[in-house]
Amino acid sequence: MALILQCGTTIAATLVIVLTPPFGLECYSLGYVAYGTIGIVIMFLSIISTIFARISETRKESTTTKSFTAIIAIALRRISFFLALANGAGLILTSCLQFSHLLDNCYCSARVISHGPNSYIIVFYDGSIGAMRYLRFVAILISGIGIFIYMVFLRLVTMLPHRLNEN
Amino acid sequence: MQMVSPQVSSPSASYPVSSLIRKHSHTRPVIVSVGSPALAAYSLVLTSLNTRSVYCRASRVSHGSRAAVAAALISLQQLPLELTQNERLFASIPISDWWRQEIGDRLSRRGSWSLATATSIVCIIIVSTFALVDSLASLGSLDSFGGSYEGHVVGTAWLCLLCLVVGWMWVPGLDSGELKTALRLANQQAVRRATKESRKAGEAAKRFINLPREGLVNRRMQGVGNRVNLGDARQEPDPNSDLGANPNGREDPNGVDRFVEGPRILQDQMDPETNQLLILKDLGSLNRDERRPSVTFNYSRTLRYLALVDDVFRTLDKLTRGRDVVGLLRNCLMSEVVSRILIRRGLPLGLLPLCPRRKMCSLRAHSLQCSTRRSWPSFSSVGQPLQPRSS
Repeated sequence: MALILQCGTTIAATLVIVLTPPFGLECYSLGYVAYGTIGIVIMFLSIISTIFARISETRKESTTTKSFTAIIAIALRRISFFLALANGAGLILTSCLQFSHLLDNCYCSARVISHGPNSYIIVFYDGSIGAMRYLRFVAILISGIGIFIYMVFLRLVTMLPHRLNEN
Repeated sequence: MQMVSPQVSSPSASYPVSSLIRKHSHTRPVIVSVGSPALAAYSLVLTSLNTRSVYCRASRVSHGSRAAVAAALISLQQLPLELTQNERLFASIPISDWWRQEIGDRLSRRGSWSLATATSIVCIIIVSTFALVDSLASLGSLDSFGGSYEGHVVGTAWLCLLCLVVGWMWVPGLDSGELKTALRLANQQAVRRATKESRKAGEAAKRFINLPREGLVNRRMQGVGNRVNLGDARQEPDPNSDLGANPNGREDPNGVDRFVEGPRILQDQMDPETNQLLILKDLGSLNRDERRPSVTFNYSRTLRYLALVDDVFRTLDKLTRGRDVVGLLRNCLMSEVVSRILIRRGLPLGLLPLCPRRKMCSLRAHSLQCSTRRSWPSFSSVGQPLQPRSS
């Protein structure tokens, strides 16, 4: 469920950029892909860290296993926290850059990252703008579907089935 | 002689509650939820699933205070707790009136505002304002065909934070101060209850011992009674001289032990730090995240929490075993069979091979079993039919 939420919103954000006429990854979209991926990686690292911590806490027989798993758990926890810190900072930075149009230079707009030397910049565009509107609609739809599934699931689970009697 | 001493079976000793809960730091949850919305969303889902499984488990216990215990357990997800192995305290879990009045009321409020929530909302507002301004500005410009997607993109990326905010409103989340107070009250009341019961047992034993004294002249018994009652060592008679007074040559060890138990327990339980029903686990750096009382970190507590829930409800089952044999038998049969089937088929994925305690497996199976059922009230125990959901 959490994966659906994160993937839905990230994919939607990326899709808009990627499919806007000079197709391909751009600086911003690369940032969003990295953001979503790192977010998911952090989640898995934290879960693994929890499991290792539990193992090292409940094992009683061997001290080597215990200390080894404890070290892994602590290391994973710290790594995931610093990743989260960097990731959040990165998201805020990307947003600021995007709003201030700082990266609207030739390198980024031509999407050199994905096209390499064959990249190009659109100077004059005679395609239909309607297609792009359609694309944005699809992106909103994807993120909306992800969010909708997650929220409906959460709401259904949080609605408790009945009241336990009071005595 | 049965020594009655506070047993702390876990390797880590129990400490004062206040020093163990880490200060409700607001920055960490914010960082984690901005940095990885997936993790925050995951712990939200886990919290609500745990809530559901507690409710489901409580509906199959026929004890009177199950609603209060369930409410308290649901809200105590924010602390790394373990149940004590001290048997006297263990038996005093169902304090129906009190759990309902104090903890239940205190903890049943859900969805408090925290800094993480506020920050997320502020971020979303700022981002959407920028997006609006940006799209308006790019309306008039020449390259409007491709220039105006920025606001849209950024808005989409920040949208998942909005979901988290709404989710935090639905899930029980409490302030660390309230949690602290509730936990302290829980431990105090458990100790008080256990003390009261042991005092009662002591008085019963006293009556039991004093009974033969009226008929027979048993100076040995009398001496023991005085000694324990007054706590005065001077009145202890010389055992060599009085040995002949008892026809058996020895006193009844059970009676005296039970008699002695009362005051000694009282003495032990004056110290609330060592007598705790719910122990906060402190493993140093190993579970530092667990001691952060924020909903965002609920993911790290979930394994320990499932074990706690299982312990509590197992105790409740034990306490009601005599009263509701049929319902309990049916529940046990159902849960055992279903959990075995589920574990065989490998339906509870992932966590099961890794969890070291078998009881967690069965709990997992319980929750799955419950979530597949539709008719909730029919699944309750025989003795106490459930009321349909009123609200």
